[in-house]
Amino acid sequence: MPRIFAAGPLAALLLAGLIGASPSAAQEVVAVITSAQGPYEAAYASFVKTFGREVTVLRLPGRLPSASTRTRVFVAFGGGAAAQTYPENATLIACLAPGTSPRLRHDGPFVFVTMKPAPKRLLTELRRLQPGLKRLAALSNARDTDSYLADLKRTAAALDIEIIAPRASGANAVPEALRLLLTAKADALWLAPDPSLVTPENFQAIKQFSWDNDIPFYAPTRGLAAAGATAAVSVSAEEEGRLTAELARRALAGETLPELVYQERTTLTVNLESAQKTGLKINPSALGKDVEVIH
Amino acid sequence: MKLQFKFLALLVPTGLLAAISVLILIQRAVHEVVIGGQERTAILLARAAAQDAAAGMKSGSEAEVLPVLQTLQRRKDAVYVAALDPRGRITAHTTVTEKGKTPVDEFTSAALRAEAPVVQPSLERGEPVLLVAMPIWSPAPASTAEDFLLSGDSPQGPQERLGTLKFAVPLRGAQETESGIIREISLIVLIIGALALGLVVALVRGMLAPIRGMMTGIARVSAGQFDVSVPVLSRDELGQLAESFNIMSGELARTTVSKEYVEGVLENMYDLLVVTDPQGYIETANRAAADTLGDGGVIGRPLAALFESPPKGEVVHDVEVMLHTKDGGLTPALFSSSVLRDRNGRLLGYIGVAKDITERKRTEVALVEAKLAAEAASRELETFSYSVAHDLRAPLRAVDGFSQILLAEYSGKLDAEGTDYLKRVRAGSQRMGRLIDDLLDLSRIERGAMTLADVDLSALAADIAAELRKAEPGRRVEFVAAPDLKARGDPDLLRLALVNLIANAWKYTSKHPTARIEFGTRTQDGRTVYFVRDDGAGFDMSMAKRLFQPFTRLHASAEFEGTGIGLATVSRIVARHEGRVWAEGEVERGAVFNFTLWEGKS
Repeated sequence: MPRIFAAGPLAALLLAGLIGASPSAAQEVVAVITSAQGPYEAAYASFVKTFGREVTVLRLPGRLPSASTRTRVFVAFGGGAAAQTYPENATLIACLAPGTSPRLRHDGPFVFVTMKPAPKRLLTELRRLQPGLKRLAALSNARDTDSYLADLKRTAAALDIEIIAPRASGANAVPEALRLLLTAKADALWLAPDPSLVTPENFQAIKQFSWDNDIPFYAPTRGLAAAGATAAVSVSAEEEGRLTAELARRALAGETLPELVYQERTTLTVNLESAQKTGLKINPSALGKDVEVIH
Repeated sequence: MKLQFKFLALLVPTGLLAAISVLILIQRAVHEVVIGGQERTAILLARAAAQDAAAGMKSGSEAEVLPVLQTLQRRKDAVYVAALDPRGRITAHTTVTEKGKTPVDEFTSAALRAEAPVVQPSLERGEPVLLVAMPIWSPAPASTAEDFLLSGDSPQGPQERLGTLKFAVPLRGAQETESGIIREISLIVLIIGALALGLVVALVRGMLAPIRGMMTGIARVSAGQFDVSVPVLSRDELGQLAESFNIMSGELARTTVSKEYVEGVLENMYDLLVVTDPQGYIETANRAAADTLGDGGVIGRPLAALFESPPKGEVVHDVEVMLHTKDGGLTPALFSSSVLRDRNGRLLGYIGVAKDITERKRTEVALVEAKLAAEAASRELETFSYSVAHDLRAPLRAVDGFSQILLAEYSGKLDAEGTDYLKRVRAGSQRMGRLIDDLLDLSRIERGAMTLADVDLSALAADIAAELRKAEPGRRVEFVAAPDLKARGDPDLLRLALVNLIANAWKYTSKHPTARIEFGTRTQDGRTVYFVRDDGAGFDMSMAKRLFQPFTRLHASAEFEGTGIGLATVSRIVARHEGRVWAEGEVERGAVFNFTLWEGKS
């Protein structure tokens, strides 16, 4: 389903550069950045550094090139970029787009570098902080279509952890999902990186729920740990950029890529004050040099 | 300065300082509430108006901006509201004639540079106003839900400065409100301060009342009135002080009475008492000392000057001295002295006590004189007795001699009755002769001089026993004498004493078929006691004290012959040897005669 966008200033400039010119690396790979926010720019910088070749970049808002261009790979940084419509013959690699599924937007080949950490990595890190973790509630969106939850359950079973999966249909359903957790007697709550659920208002409600009921809650980003989550097992924007560059290189090489890629490299961030408020006693030996501690 | 004024000098400035501080703080608080409230409200409204005016400012349309300014003017009753472009030119103004002008003043210049609201009090046509300036920014790009997830907050992108909103809010009403509130509060503080001052004065006076009471009490104590009690008005430290003062004055009164009592005792004691300073000069003398030694002349004199011959040593006890009396004579006294020291051992002086023994000395002299007189009389009596006995002895010897001649040469011429009478005459004369001999012996004991020598009493006793046994060989008497009993004394007198004692035992055992007589010694109270024990007739102990009186006999002459002089003789011999004699006995169970020698010597 090809779509031609009305040419904006940036897109016009891009197209002008492409017409009549021989194909180049800069034209084969186009990076689209949702906005000039820190994470996207950091990821892009890491991407450029790892990719090592010239890349055409477009910062939204702007118009994308048409399907007639010779661009083979579009790399979308952020949900805004991922939500755009790209030529179906090009491969779309999306990262830092937790609320957007390329499957729903792009008819061509795509790779979704999810912000969700690899299940084993996630559970291992949570067990590191909370050795007695037996029942983990994973709050996710009911409309989530990826297979992450299934992978998480399989991995958890191997680690003797039961995954409780309250699913909320949207932000408004989060309070009810939290109330259900009380009866489920969860040891901890993990928030999936879903902006449709983790709104500022819901985050405040989740934090209060956690502190009131002594249920540690783990966030998907460092920022949320700094904002009051007990801890976060997160992927860094730099790692996202690095991984995306590798995937772009492989796509250009003609490799068939998986549609869903997990991050194996994660960062553990612990908010000690929040941990204390939830009654979580963290063994000092668990707080190694690789752990960022927020006091 | 009195304590009350010191308290007030401390509390009043402190209170004034506190009141001024409170007023300053209150003024600031009121200003913050009233004027600060105006500022905050103005800023809030200005921020909203700046947002509303942003679109108009971006397009430079007075028509879009002016309604916003007018709305703000109505809400804050502003003197004017203006919107300036980034260069300071008025894009819109509630006074429309001002459009296009470029105000040049410090506030405007500062407001154009500032990225935050600027507020400054000022005057506008003589009226106090609050100048407010608010930057006008282009609308911020909307943040996405992803932004919060990624960063934990809602980031804002860079915004474009479109201009500055400037307006003047009248302050007169707010300032009048502020002044009114401060006036009322100042009045309240003033009233409270006055009340507090009155309370402080009353409190200080109340606090000092017990102290004043104690001052009065101390003055009365100083004047010699010790039984002073001050009222205890509280349980605090001052109350405890008052209680302590009462206890102290009570103790003082009690101990002062004791001092008077002791002084009374010393003053009225019969013995002489003087107290000297450390150098020995008399400082105090009681009445007895003053009466005897002279009050005016004693004080200040050295203690040694009181004596005819001062005793040696600082501490003496019952030393006989002669004191110079106030009439120039001497009086005998027993003198004791001791050293007077304080608790730390420092020498304060000496205490001397003298007991007048004039009467005792007189009595002693009288006793000596009486003794001498008695001894003289006794000697005269003994001389008389000796003379009488000696003189009686010659005619008696003639009676006995001629009676013997009559019996020898004229017995044939006398009938039996006459012979019997003659024999009785002779027996009577012989008995009288023995009596006279005993009396002479007794007198001789008292009169004769003693020749002391070491006497073998054991040998003496054995000789005496042998003579008695020779005189009556038929008697079965066991005589036991302890060996080697020796004593210092007159040999003749001691022999006479032992003769009397052993012969006595021999005589009073004569009615028993067998007898045992023992001469020995024992130790009693560290002294040697000589004894002669027999198992003869004994005596009634109730008569024991009479045994040693002359001519005293406990048995009839018919039963046991005797003159009653022997034990009296023993008693006097022992007495001349400074000893004692006493007897113990029981009827028909025997008797023990004990004596000691030289008891006055070790």
